[in-house]
Amino acid sequence: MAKILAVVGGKGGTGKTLLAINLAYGLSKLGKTLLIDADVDNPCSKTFLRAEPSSREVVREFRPKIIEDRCRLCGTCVQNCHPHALLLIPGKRVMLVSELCEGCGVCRLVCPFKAIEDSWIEAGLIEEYRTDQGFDAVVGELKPTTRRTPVMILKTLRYAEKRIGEYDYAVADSPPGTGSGIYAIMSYADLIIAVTEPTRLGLSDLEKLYKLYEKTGSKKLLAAINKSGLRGGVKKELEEFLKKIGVEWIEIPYDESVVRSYAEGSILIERYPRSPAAEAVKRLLERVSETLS
Amino acid sequence: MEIAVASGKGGTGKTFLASNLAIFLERKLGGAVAVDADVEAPDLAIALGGVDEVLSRREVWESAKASIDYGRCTGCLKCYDACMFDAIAIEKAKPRIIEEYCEGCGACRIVCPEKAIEIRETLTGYLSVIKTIGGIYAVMGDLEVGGRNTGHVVYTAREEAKKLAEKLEKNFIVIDSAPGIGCPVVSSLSGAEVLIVVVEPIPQSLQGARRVLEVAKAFRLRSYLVLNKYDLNEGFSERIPGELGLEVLGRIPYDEEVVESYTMMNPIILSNPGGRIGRALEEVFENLIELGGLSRHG
Repeated sequence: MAKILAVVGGKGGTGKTLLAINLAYGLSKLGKTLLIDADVDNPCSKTFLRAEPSSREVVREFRPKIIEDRCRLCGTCVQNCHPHALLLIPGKRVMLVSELCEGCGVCRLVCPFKAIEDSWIEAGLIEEYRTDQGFDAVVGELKPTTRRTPVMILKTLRYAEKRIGEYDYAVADSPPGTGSGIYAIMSYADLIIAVTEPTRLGLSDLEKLYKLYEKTGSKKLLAAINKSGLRGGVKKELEEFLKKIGVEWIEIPYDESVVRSYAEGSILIERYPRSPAAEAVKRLLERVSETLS
Repeated sequence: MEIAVASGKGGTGKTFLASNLAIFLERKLGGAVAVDADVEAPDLAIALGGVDEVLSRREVWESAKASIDYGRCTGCLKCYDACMFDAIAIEKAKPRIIEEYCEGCGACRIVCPEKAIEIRETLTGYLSVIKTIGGIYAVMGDLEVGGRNTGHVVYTAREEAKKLAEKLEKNFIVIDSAPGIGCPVVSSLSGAEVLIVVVEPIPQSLQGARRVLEVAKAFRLRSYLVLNKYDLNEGFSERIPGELGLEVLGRIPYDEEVVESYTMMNPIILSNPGGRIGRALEEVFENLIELGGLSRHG
């Protein structure tokens, strides 16, 4: 069974994907590695993968199909629709606002006239990639205008679980935030890396993320302070917080090679191995492999 | 008028832009209420200069978790079939609720012939109304960690902001939305009139912007573009407006002054309006007034 590493960060844009991609690349030198992109709202690990998807699974979601002949306009479905996605146009019909629908199917269950049938829309995709970069990838992607991020995260993790027996390491990239989806990803991992930055926003979100981490029990946790050289930031306060909670950290300086690797869709430690940021990522990688073994 | 700030990708500068915009509209057009709709990582209060006074704080509850009375459950598993969220597992021929995945929709309760399922209210998050040190009124949503219904907290925060704006006679509501395109973002965008998409010059941000614009299209928002940190890759920056088909409100350079303004909790539009970031922001906002047709009447 693969050792699972989850890369999380309360705040967006702190460098989760940068680390996830580079750690997957680095770990692939030590064993067979799978990258899991569970940032289903914006799965941007795709921009770093040199491959076309080798397989694809469509995730579907329920939508009510109102059979107008049978509908008596009683309004029961409308009253029972929590997200207010059904509207009763008196004397005419019941209308669905698909973008607001959460696909729970309650309307179909409560309709006294069996006037609602099943239909299904595409809610997302799960794609598998076999790259020539040393690691494989499973990428979950929510379809825009649907809103079931936590379900897509879960489905992506479950899909990856079926493959994970073939691997020594798995690295999960996650969406920003501190909600239930992040909790699921953290619960799934052997080691959690919390990526932050030395800004007041980064610190505030790390504090919130740590509260979520505490709910997951006694998982191993490492912190990465990305963009550590930012002038005018709150690095001291951040370090004091990490000391207080007893979490070890690795600093990753900001340098131009990071932006370049993003712009090119290249892997930092492969493309710019001597850059200060790449050297720091390699130190993190060492620490990760020690912790996981 | 409700103006939402979104990006698809995290860390492109939504909170930075939204906080300065709220202050600008407050001063220039006579009033704005700010809404922190990034309820999983709420930072707008910091960016607005910090909290001066908490006017109210309340819990947001929602009927959200199913629970099974095993004394009554016969193991018919109708609930398992009805659940659209994979939130019911089967263990020893009985259903078990997986709490993290339960949406609390009640489908299982409806189909249970033994009335063995109850939907219990759970705490989803918190809502505070604050006055910031810069004098802005803001409604802050804050999700209980590990919480699920982010959209509901955002919806509640916006409703609160509308009431507040009416009471205080403020014409604008500025919504700092979450990264991504999911439930909280849909709740931020639905009903807003104007969307400002903040993009930085990397492909990952362009991808995020495309995705959020698909959502905006479904809700028919008027959308405008702000290029943030544009000088990190000017060539790429110039391609973005064409790729997204959006009008550009302005270009903001990369400058660590932004980090410093957070550290000092002193918004740039107040602390250094004449500096290079301050001037770039002002240009963005003046263009928004012109292109978006904003006036003292909203």
